[in-house]
Amino acid sequence: MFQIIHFIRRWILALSLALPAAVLLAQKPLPPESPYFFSNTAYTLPARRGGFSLLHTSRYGIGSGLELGFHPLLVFLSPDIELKWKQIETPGYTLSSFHSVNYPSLLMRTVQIEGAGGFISREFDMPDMFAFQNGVMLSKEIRKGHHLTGKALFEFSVHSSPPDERSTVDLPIVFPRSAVYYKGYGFIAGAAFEGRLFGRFAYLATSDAYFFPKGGLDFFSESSLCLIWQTGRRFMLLGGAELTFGEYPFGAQWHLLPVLDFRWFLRV
Amino acid sequence: MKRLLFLVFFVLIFPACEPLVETFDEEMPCQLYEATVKKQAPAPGNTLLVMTWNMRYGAGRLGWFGDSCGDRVILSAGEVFPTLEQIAARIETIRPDIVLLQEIDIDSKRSAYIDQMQYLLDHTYLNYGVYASNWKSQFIPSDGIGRMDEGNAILSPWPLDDAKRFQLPLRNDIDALTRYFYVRENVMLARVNMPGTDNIYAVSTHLVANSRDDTKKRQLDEFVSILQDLHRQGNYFIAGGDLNLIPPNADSTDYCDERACAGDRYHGPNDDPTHLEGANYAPEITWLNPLFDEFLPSLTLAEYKTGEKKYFTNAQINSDYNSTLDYLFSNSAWAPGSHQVYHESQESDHCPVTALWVIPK
Repeated sequence: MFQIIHFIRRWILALSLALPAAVLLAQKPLPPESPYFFSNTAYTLPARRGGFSLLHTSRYGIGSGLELGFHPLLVFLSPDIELKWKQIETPGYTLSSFHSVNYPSLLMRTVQIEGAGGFISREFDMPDMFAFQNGVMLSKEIRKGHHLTGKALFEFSVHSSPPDERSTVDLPIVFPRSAVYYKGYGFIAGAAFEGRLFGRFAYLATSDAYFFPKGGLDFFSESSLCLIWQTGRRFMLLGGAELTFGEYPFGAQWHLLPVLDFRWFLRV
Repeated sequence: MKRLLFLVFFVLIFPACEPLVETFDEEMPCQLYEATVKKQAPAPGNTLLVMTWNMRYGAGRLGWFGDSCGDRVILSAGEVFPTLEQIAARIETIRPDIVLLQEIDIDSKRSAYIDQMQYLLDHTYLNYGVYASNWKSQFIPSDGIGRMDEGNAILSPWPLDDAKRFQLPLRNDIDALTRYFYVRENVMLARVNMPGTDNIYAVSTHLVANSRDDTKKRQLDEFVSILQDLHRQGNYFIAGGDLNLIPPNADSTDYCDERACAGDRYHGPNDDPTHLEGANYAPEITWLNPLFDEFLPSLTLAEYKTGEKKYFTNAQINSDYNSTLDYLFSNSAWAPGSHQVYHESQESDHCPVTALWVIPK
């Protein structure tokens, strides 16, 4: 049965990439000056404008160079509020500061399930934990329609008691984002390159590195290459692949993962 | 340019569809191990001491949720290392020439990601090992189990080669999702390169524990077929493992009460299920007959009948040994009366079983 599911999944992925090719010549390019980006840049959204996604952080402009971010799926179980604050804007570049707080304890307790769906063993008491991220993001238009964003973040956690080290979820994407609760603090550095490709297509290349120095340096990296199909002025589909590397509790491992998502820009 | 771009995306996307769970080919090579520091291998005498042992991944008698009535899932290194130390010490004391292991972990979150194969080779006189996974998943999203790599193994002071893993039939009495993440039992074998021999094979297996249909019978048939092939090809074999079946002439065939968790009730008119999964052997009681009929057991059924208790190999975590599930077979003679079980062992819920095998001239 799972072979069939894999077969179907491959074809869905193949079609999701082939479809843009089919419509490639049938569509006229949108006007070139779109202000919207899929990636998280130092630019902020205009007031009352939202950019919503399923798997990536959704964003909402509250004016005066301020933008809120939250994760649409996890907002209730793992509240994660981000604030981006534009600090400097020149014709050459834009610099914003970034601040976030996350409370994952509810989510961690929710996945302590007996039987299917149990990601964390019920034998562990998950404490109340908060993680804070602070840093800067800088975006620059390298060539017309091609934007480079760099970021540097420091994160640290506080908790009511230290979580048991065996309660980690040793999976790509998940482990680097939860490592701060076990390691205490860490650093994130990253870059994203997004720009117009041809017609209604754009590209997004990202690379992020996570460093956790406590108890011996643990390193994680996530690099993705995606194609963005701008189906309309305010709707984007994204598909591609992400290559991850991590030093997990069992050792180092690479993963190649599919990436599929959308972003829908709305006036709210 | 456009074609190249799409080609790059396809090349990236397709490997990304690798399954989460290792499903194994019908026949594939085993993973080879060597001790970090080789020890002097003994010169073989007239007999080989062969051991089979389900070592329970170094959990000792802790109450793991999946195979006892416990609530433990993820053991700490501080819990697993002392048990491994005792297992290594037991092997050192008994000093078998060939060790057939079941339920050995090499990369499992439940046993602190300790490579137990390497540990045993580095802490005993044994030099070489082969390993075949029967439960391998990057992540099992159930009960917090997480990453898993458990399997069977063969250890020896002499080099091992021609090591193969044969996939056994999967359970049909569980849903597809459970089956996808479930144990995939195997038979593994390797040639033992003892000086002066080139046709002696060691075979290790672990049959399904909790099936309620004929899965165990189908697995046993496959096991017998592999042994028949080895025999037909002119090889000698020493085969053993945890067959999860009691001897055909055992007095008791129902272990529901012995293995029931607190509060569980079986056999009553309103009890559902009537029997504990994997604890009622009555429908399976004849399944081992072909193995006993065709090959030579280290413990004959007649010997077993002379004192069943003496030959029990399996216990619950807080009880004495109360059933026989572990066996040794060959297509050549065992030294009469050499079958031995080690009830003093508390390093697992199974005890080690050994017998002397007469090396054919």
